[in-house]
Amino acid sequence: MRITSKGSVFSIELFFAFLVCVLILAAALRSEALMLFGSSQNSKQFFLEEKTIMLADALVKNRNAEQPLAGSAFFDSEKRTVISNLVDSSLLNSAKPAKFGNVEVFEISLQRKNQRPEIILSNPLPSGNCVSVKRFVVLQETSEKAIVGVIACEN
Amino acid sequence: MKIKASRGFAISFEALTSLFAFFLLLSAIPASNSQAQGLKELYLLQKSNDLLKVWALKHDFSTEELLSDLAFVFPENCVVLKQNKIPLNSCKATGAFITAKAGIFDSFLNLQEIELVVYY
Repeated sequence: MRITSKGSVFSIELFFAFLVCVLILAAALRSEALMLFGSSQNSKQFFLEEKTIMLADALVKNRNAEQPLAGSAFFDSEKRTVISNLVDSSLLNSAKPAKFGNVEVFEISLQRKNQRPEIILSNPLPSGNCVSVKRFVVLQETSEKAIVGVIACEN
Repeated sequence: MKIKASRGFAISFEALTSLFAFFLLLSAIPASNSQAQGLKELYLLQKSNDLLKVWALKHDFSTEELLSDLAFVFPENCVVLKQNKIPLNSCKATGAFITAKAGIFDSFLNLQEIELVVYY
């Protein structure tokens, strides 16, 4: 091999060096892409969990007669205040399916202490990501302690 | 092989190996999980506060009732319950924990200091 005045000769050493450089760059870019993809998946999961936690919190702390999923706490008319963690089970039983942005509530369950869970609202679960959150409450009608379960999934 | 070159550059084998090792190190850095950890702590804190609120509503501070509620709400976690600074139970405590504390008046207007330590 030799270098001529009219052009350059691509030497074998330079060729191997170039090949190794390209392989390293490809591995670095792939690693970066995987990390970014993992981050975006983590972000999606994070937002789904965050929204489900907020939905369950609203359900046990607020009162919304038009949308019981957004609030089923008992309203004390004497004190004129909503009592958090005291659930109006008649209002909760009238809950209808609802979407909150890109999150949809698919199941609401109620498990009284020492009893099996009973399903109040149920839709077939989609194949995507779902998150389950449980909150401890007292049922206003019967003064029983119970756990309200909420399952929400991505649209 | 002898090549005479007046222009151009050469990357030495040592430099290549260093670059390769550097990118291997970069790819070994784990993805940040601090957001998910924060949500887990929030959820455990919410459940702990649920227990305290329900106990404040029911005014029943018998040891049996408190421990059975604890087992009902946290079936999979190690939770230490203290009533007036006296531990009512013990379990194998490992890892991180969150605490929730409240002062609640019972039916006889005695102040009950309830503290929960939830390990996760």
